[in-house]
Amino acid sequence: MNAPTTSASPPSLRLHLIVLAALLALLLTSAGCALLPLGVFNTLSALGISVIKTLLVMAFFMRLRRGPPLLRIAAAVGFAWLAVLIGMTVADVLTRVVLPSPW
Amino acid sequence: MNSIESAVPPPRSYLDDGHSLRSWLFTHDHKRIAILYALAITFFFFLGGFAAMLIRLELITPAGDLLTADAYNKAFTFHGVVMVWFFLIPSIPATLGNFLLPMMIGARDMAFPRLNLFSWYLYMIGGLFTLAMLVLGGVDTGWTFYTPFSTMFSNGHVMLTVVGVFVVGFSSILTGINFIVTTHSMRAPGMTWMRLPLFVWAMYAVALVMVLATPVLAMTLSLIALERIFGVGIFDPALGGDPVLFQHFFWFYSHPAVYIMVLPAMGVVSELITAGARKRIFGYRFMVWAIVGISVVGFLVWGHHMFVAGQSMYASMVFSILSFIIAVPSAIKVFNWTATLYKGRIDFNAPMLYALGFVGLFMLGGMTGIFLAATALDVSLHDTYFVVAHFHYIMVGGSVMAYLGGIHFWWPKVTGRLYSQAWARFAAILMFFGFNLTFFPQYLLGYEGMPRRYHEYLPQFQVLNILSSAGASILAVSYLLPLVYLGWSLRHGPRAGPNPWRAKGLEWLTDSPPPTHNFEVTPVVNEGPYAYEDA
Amino acid sequence: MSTESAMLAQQFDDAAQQREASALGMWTFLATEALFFGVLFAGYTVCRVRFPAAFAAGSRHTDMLLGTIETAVLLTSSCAVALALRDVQLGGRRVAAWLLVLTAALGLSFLVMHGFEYYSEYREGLIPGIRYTQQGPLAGPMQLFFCLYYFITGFHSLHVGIGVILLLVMARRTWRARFSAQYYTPLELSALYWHLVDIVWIFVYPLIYLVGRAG
Repeated sequence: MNAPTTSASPPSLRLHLIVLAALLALLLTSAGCALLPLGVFNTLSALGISVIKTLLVMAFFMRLRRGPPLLRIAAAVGFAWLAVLIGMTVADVLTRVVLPSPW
Repeated sequence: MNSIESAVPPPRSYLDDGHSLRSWLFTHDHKRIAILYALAITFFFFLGGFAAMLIRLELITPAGDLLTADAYNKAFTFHGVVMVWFFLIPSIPATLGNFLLPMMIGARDMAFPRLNLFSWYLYMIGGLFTLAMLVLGGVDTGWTFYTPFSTMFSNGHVMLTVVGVFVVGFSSILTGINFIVTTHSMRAPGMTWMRLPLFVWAMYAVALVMVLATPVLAMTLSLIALERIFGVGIFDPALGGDPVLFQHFFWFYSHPAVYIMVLPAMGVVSELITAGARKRIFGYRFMVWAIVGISVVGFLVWGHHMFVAGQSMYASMVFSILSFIIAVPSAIKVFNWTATLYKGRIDFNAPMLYALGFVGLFMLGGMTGIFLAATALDVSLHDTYFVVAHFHYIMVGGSVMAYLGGIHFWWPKVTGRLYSQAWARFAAILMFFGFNLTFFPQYLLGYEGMPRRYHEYLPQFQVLNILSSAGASILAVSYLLPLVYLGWSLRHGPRAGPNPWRAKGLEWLTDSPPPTHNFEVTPVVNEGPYAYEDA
Repeated sequence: MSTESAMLAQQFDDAAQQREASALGMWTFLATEALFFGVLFAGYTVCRVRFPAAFAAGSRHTDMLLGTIETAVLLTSSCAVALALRDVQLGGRRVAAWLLVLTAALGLSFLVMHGFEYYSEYREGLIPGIRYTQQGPLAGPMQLFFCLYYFITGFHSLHVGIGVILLLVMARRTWRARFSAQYYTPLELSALYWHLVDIVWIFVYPLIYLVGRAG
């Protein structure tokens, strides 16, 4: 409770621009990867790049890197619960035995 | 701050801080908002109870003679929707939780008082949609809105109901956010996490569940609405969509919603039992971890509602095992309550009777839940009255008993008045008997194979159904009784001191009824909860 | 006296506690938003697992170039709002206000571009329930893709619209010096909200526009 009233000085302009450049570069990378025939890696690379972009936005623009750990937990919990929802639902769909209709 | 306040007379109680309607409808005081909620949910409780009476009246005879099949469907749907979203989910959190959470942690108010008031208005708007649905002719999907019936075939007012539940869902999300932030950032000096009363822990856990589950319901209901508007959607089997997917989403919310109903009840009962036995709670840390465990594992068991819905059998096995696991923290709680009572100097006052009723009924409801978690048994018990009896033991026998126990326990704090102990004990005992008479026969009916949600049944089920309906009328009387004697106490009850039960906890340190900002001086905490001198 | 003490609500002891509480409240709300959109992504995953070919075919009907430009616009706007917050924290006012206006303008241009997308899809007959003229074996499940596409982008655009209004309000308040280096909580929370809108789109982009492009 006794934290200093003024927070640490904000990240520099330079850092913001570097992060933006990285995000745009990742965007082009993901667009480029999508055009190459990589099979299953098309999806994996697209999602992997999205995760990296999200982490960049959260760490720097949303300032989780320097922020209180509690906020990082709050952010992580939302995604974790979403993973449970998607994971267990997809697990059901993937393991269903297809019963052919009798007519 | 202290030096200024010591010069003036003691502050007015929150009830005397303005008497106009405006002072209530625009209040930011968590205690007044709690009372606004209490009035609203009491109204909806009796409205839902009225639908239940219609159901029980219809089921006295095997023939469908009182209600048509359609009217019966609408009656049980209305009963379910109102009781789940407009009574049980807000019941303990929005009333007792709102009133007590800031006081128990030594805060002046919630972290976001305006948001708190806004959540009450959302609740009322959702309630108006639901009332509009009732007036315009009701809805017949059941409270579960299963697709494709709700999206493509039902002619009831599905949209109105869905909008009402959507809005009330946001009310509970806002309450949840408020509880989480308040617990994190508003605790008084010295109030560490392991000194929090178990009621606060329960509110914190329930807020987590509200915040993480309710958005899923909101979006799922939006999908139903969109599918009704545009005639296409992802649950539409004609396009290759999957109606079972709806059930996944729905139960991802609605199973944890059961814990939204029962976790607060567990919190209340922990307070009631320690105060009534005048002992520390047995195994405080275990109780805390049991609460947290229930709220987390509660998210991983939703598939046990779908054993016969076409879910893959491997998923069913996993959900079945996880459902067994959640019995462990629930059992820990029951054992610890029992151990707390052991060698206690038990005062059988009305709150204690309600709490003891809760423990017994919750145990019966929980044990039958284990039956239903077993996939093989569930195939024959699914959608029978066994399920109906099971969840009524948890929700009505558990949550409503605890809610009323909590109301009786904190009534002197909320109103500053004492009520008639004799009448309150009588009502508690009557409720216990009425409840068992209503719902125990339903276990037997379900085990013999009577399906739920039909307005007619085979003649051999009539005796048990008559018993159940007789019990329901006793139950109704026992719910009306507190209105009378608690209402009477408001004007004629003797004044309660700050701490009529000689209970521990910060809320008992301040006046009854408390001043607007709860404490004249922010309390400093230097001991754990329930510091009773052990007998 | 600074804006800091004037803005302290009575239930808090000090500004640090208030700021901490507001940030935690906002992050909790963002978690609920993640789950709110998450249902759509879960539905998307399930449907795509069942109909991979239809999803690839549906995705090829979308406008990849426009989608990429929209993503770049949102990423840039996220950076702009972060810089606006930085400027206020360093005591700035004018630059911050203009950066917020820029953010809102980028958001608005995103909505306009999306409007054009919707219009061309309407002309192509790709909107299930309104105008859907596709034929062939994949036409049925492809409707699932387009349902999800409209649900996801529709809810997302709704959030963008709310965000634009919020940012304009914040720009006005910044211009009128309602914030200072000591007190900027509403601006900080609005920025967080805008970043979340951005993050949602970061996932929408590959799932809607990039499926089956290589084939």
